[in-house]
Amino acid sequence: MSQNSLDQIFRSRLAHQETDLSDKVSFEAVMARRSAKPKSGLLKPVLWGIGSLMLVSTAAMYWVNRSSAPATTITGTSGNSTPGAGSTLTGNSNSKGLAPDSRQTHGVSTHTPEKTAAYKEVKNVRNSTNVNLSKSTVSYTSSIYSNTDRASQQPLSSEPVNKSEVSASVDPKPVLIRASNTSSNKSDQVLKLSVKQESLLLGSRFINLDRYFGQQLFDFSLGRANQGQTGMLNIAPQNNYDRNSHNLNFELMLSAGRYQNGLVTFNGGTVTHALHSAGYYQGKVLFNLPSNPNIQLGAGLGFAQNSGSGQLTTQQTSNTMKVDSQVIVIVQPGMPNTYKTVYDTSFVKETKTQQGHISYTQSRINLPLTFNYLLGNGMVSFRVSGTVAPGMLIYQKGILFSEGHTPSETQTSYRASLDARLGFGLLLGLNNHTKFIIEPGIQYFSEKGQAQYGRLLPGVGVGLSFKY
Amino acid sequence: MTDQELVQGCIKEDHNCQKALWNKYARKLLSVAIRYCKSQEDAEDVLMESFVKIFDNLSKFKGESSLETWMRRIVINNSINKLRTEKITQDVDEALPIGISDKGFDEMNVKELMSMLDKLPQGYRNVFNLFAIEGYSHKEIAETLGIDEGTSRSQLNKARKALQDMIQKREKINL
Repeated sequence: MSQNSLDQIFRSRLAHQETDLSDKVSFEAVMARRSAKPKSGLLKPVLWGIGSLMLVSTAAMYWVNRSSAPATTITGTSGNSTPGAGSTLTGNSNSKGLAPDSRQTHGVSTHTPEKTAAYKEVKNVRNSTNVNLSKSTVSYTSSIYSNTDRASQQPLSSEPVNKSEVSASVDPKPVLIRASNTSSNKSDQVLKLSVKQESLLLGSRFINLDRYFGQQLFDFSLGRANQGQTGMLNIAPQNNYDRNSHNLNFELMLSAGRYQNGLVTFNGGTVTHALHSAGYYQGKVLFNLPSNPNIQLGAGLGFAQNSGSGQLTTQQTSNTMKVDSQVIVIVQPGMPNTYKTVYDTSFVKETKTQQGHISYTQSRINLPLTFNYLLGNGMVSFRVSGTVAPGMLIYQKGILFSEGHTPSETQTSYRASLDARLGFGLLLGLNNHTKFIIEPGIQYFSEKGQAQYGRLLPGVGVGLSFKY
Repeated sequence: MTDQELVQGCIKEDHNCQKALWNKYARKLLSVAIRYCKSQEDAEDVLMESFVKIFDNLSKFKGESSLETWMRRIVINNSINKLRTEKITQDVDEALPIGISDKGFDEMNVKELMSMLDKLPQGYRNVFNLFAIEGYSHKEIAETLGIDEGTSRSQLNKARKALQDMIQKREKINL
């Protein structure tokens, strides 16, 4: 008998053989088994997604840790000035000879000081602008020293706006001028004299860079961030449980993460080329759903800190109102000299880009709301954990180091914040009541109005879970 | 009802169609499972588990093969997986010549054939079942069982030799 014949005999007699079912096997039993089985349609893709996410985050964390240190170069300060639109003309003036920077006469006042000689000295000249006097107020023309430094006879340039100076008073003083001649021209001419007597600066400041706080940056509990170098924790608190016992669990978790070259906003500036670190500390109470003990829900209290070090770029905009006063001396033969004071108001909008190295820290408190899905029920088990923690930024401080400036401190007020974390945890039973948790994951935080920068930090959490 | 109508009904979770499918194929598939499993209980467990999978995955049935072939493959895979969880090991031996008379073989009934298969080592039994009865190629067997094609060939020959010995012994007893 050939091999094929042997196979053929078995095939022909057994291939379509039927066997009677025992009492244990029935269609109803199959359907009951089927309905008892959890639907894997949604669970599988979710688990695959989370697994992939964990894989990517682990790879990203590995890559981040291999990356080089953050840039620490301090760049210089640069600035530019943008003339703003002039104010509405309210005083006596004509349209001739308007200054190129659109400054306009704000008002005119007249007074008569002591009698002076024909030769008068110009004093207190720091800056000047063109001013047009109303023809009706002038009979003779004298010398014009407008826009010119008396000593050098060079045109005067606008004085840089000093944002730190704020004064509110104007004290125009009569200025002695030398009237080099009296005009024989009987036609009305204008004596132009522009002397900056005083400036009124009303500026707005975005960042106070005046306070010096020292070279050292604050440390915070588990991490530290110093200029030019940032190190960070690698531990942090979070949660766990035991299904075999009661449904109530208390969990402490500590998690930490960091990323490099991300973007973080700080006081209106953007921190780049930086190493940012974050720590999360949470205490939570969790309970297992009676209908599905694999699912845990919980809430608690949390505290989160971020720190970072990197290059800060800020755009500072200031609007400055500048009021110049001028005294005009009108000399008329045979008549006492007449003095007139003209106020020139201008608005200057200034945008300044500043770069420097900043070290910062932020602290937030929040209310973590947690959803856990448990995989396994032994001394070694796993879980997928998602936490959303709305909260508030309660503390923020940074020290900026920039060229030409002393280190300066910045601080901000309270703001709403949102923290979130997605982790895949390994739970190791230490005893009947306690489990140790190690949970790699992705952390996210944002502040009110700053969410567009989306901060995602790969990190690792560790914690303890106690069952009751 | 045709197989196609049954499939469409089962996809729509029609209880009657599901029951009709069960009634039509359960006995046949139990026989398949029995040939691979170590016991009747295991085979019945495999059968029910297989039907759960069949009902869950009928929407993935493309009609590239017959419905029965598709379901048999599920039962076979489930049976082999069950054996794997029980850590059934397989040995590889050299190929052996076959020599058996048609007469003695023809006289054997299904029960005897099943009894002979049961006596085969699990590895030989799986390969023989897949190759001789299900019509799998050695490549398919290798993929299904996770073994080399050479191992499949070797175990098939070993199974045949063992069956031949059993038949020869039976002939001697009958004489």
